[in-house]
Amino acid sequence: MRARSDVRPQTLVTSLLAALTTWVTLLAWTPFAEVPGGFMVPLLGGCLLVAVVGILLRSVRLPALLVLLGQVVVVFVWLQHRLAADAAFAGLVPTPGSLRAMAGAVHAAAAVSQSYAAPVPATAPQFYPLLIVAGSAAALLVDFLAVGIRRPPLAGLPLLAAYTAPVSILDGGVSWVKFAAAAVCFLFLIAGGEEERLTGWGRQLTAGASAIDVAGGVAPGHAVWASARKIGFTATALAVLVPVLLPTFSASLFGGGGAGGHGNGDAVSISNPMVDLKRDLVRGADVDAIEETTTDPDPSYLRISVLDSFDGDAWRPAGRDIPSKQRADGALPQPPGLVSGVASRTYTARLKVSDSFQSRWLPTPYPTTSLKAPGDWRYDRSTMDFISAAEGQTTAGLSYRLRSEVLSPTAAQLADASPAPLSVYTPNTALPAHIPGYVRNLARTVTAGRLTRFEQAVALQQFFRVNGGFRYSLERSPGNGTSDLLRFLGTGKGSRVGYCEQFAASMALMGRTLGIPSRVAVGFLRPDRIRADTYVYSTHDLHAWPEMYFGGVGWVRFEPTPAARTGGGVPSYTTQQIPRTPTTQARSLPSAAASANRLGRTDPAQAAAAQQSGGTSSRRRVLLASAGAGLLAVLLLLAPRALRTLVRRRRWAAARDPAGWVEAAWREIQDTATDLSIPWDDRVTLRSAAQQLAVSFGRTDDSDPAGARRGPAADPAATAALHRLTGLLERARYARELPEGTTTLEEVMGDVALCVAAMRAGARRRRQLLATWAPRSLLSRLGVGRRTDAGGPTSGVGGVDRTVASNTR
Amino acid sequence: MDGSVGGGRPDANGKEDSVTPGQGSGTAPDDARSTNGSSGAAGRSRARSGGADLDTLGRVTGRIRDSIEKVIEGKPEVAKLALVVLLSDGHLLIEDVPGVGKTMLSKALARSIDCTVRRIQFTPDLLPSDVTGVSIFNQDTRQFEFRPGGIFANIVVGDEINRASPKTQSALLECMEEKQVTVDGTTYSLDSPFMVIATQNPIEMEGTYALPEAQRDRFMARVSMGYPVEAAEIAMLDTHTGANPLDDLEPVADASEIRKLIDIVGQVYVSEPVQRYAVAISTATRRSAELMLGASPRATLHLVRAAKASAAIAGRDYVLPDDVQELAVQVLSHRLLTTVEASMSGRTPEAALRQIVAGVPMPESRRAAT
Repeated sequence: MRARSDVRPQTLVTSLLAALTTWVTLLAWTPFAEVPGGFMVPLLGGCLLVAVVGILLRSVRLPALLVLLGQVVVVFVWLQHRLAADAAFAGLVPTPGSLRAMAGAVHAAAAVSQSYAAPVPATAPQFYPLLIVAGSAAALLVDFLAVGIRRPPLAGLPLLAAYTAPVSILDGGVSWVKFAAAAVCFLFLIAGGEEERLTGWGRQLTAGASAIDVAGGVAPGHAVWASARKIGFTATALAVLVPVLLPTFSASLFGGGGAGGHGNGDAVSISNPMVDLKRDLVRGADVDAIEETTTDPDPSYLRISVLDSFDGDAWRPAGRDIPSKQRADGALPQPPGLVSGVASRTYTARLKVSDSFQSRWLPTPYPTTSLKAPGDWRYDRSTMDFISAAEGQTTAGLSYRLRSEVLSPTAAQLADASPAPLSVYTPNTALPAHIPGYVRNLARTVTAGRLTRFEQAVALQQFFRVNGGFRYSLERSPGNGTSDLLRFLGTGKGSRVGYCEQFAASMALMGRTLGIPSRVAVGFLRPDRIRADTYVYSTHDLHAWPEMYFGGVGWVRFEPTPAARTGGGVPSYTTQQIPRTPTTQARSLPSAAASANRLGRTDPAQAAAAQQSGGTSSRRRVLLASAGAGLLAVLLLLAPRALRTLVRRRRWAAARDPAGWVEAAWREIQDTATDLSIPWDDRVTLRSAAQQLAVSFGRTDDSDPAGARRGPAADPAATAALHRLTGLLERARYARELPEGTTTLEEVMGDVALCVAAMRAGARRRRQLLATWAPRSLLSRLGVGRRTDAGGPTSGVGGVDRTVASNTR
Repeated sequence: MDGSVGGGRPDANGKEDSVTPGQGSGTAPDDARSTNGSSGAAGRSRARSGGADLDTLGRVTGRIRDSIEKVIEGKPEVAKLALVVLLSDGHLLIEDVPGVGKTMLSKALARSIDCTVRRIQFTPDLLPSDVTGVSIFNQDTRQFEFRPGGIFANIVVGDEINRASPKTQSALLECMEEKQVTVDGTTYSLDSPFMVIATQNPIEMEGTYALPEAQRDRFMARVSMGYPVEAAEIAMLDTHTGANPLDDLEPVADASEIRKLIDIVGQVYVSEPVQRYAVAISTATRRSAELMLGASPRATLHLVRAAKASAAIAGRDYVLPDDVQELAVQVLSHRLLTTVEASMSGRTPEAALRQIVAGVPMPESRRAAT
């Protein structure tokens, strides 16, 4: 150990490179806070401190562990100086008070990190120590692994851990620039380590440098570094480019890419709308986001994006299908599901987004019939939300015109809605596997007695707004996963308190459990009027609401969030009375009732009986299935043997004349040989084949104890039969003819039986069983087992050339 | 054709046989001629029900083999090959070191058959006319008279054929192929059966003219005698020291019988797969990387003819691939030339051929595969 820790210029380079790599990798943490400089600058100091202390300690040839210890001490003192200088003695020497203060600072940081979603606002600088401590620990580990014990590849583990943190916490990953920089640094770190290891084997002799030139040390590195550069840059470039070039377009790829880089405190960036929602809502300052000039006298609900996929952890935008022809520069297609007959009014509007509102999604009312926006914005046909298709393009400062409709469907229309087509129904009622039964039961209880899907939806909305006893509060931590929603919907302590996110997500989830196509929309709720026809949406207007699909109308907005927040407004159609035909009539026409969007109602007793019988029948089905499977297994077991017998029968039946009988006999013997794994070469003459076969004959009767156990002498009768068969076959194949009456089918079959018996007698017991139950000849009939030799010296294309060549030689 | 030319052949010359002194075979050719035509027709007519013919053939060949084996101890396969060549109307090249019984074999074969036999000892000064015959001026009749050479016999034993000059060799070889002799513009046909048994000594090559490939191709088969096994050699000592075993040899067949047998052999059926097999072997020799010169079409022809004879001797009126396989090495190997690389690494044509024959699949298996 001591001998290895001498200091060379390479150690110096490696130490600094390790520090640099650590810091560049930690750049991935910048999206954690709105002002990343608050911890990145101290971290740079920390990394350098680790490197410098390491270099110094190694220069006096301390063992690696001692070096690490020294570094830990120095870094600890430095941290303590930063965090608790007041309590420490002379600002440097730790005292119990300073230690307590340090622990307190870290705890406070942890608490802040719990209560804020990333990025943590600049108003909470208590958050930084956590990152500084963690980053310093990473720097220490990397330095120890890469320089101390000279295993740079191992240093990848702490680096990977540091890199994973933002990737897993922040939805959308890390900018590719940061990834590439970190990857290149790490690869160079490895290359440096490898070069050092290589020089341990002695130096390369080059033309210019003499072998005794001790001062060199650069020469061997050239080749190493050249290859390292090539490999490193290629690998990094591939890692960055390949995902981009792949044909799928994930909404989070570019959205995530742009999110991290904007460090200025005033920006309102939207990548995952739901994640940003809470932060923007609780932010102290109400930032103006969008100014709308519209002909609509009462604009509201400006939609940013649609979260149409629920995976149990969160509602997320599903992958968007945005071919280039779906550019938002003119008329847009009819919104899905909407047919004429729904009352609507059309308005034109001009929207101007402020410079501080950065979003990958274009805020638009729903439904929009035409839109002209500068840049490359594309829409997805099913969600009709608009996403930036150009990297780095956001809404900041954007100004665009659109024409939109305000639909006023009636409750009757919605109640009579046609069922959703499968293309809408399947993705929008999809639920993860582990939805708690509580949610389903609650949904069923709340909507009990409602006849149509629409009435169920209205009942759900009513449940959230009035009946359920929910309270609107921003105090609640964000989250819309299954567990969050379960807590929100539950009845225990801290339940039924939340803000729009939970309300919208819960209603959509419960809608899905009832089979209503549902999704969550995120956007602005209601603007403030600043001039006659000009309104301003601010960040405090951000909102989430559920949308549900009803055939004939399309996606319809609901408002489960209590009036305390939304100002009492619910969509008018949810309060209308549904004109209803008398229930008796509906009862008498169950088929009609079950069609359309009505729910087929069955008598509870009947339903229970059905369930009961379903239970027994399912048990019976299991029994039947297992019996069937068993039968199938038995059949499968029997199949090869039966097939083999069938093959034999058909073979004999197909033969009509002596020649056919003999050929059939020979093939039967050949197949039996294959079954018994007796070697068989069909390239030799019949006599040779028969001779080889007779070698594996076994004795069939034990009357003569002195006789041979195997071979032609073991069963003379069978050998004679085989020779008879061979002779007949030779005549059948090579003589002019095999006259009728030369032999009889019975004779041939008798000879075959003798041969087969002798062959079986000569085989092992296991082979016999296999031949009976799993005959291999069936495989060779399929062309699997037996080689079909097309080669041989007689065929082949090169032959003529070769002959010509050898003749001209 | 047979009759007209055969008439010009003096019987007296048949008796000038250097091997069989004082043998009463003078009338045999006459008998043979008289029965020739009828037996050939009969052979063809009975081709379909060849059982009786094959029995005859088997009996006669069995007698001849027994007769030969009285002299040549312990070499049944050589005797059989000599018979096969005789019955398939070919010529035999016996190649081996001196003293293993090459000449003895040919003499034994010749002696076993009651027909004209001549032996020509090839020497460097042997002239073509010594082989074919010469026209000399008869002072009495004042006319040129043709005196037939050594080739005019049913069985011609050409001893040490490689010692003669190429000119003489080619004179002999022309006769072998054409079965006729042309002297001074007159063509003389040779009697049937006509078989040349040439012997050749592969060592002591000094002062010899090795047969070129083109001429070797005319021999149907080449056989090496090989040394006898110990027991056979001891038995040989017993029989050969007392008296010359050839003296006790009685003819067991005559020329007319042999002609009949050749006819029977011609009737043997060669099925299409067997033909394909023979051609496949020849083709394989032409494509082998080890062989510079492959088998000629004449070689294929010889192979099939020999296989027919072999099948007939085995009592079959159809050829098996086994027959072809068995004879391939003896019929083909002397026609092949190995490449320089192969011969440098010690590969003989026989070895290369054995490998090729082992690699050529049976015609049936190929039919099954397709």
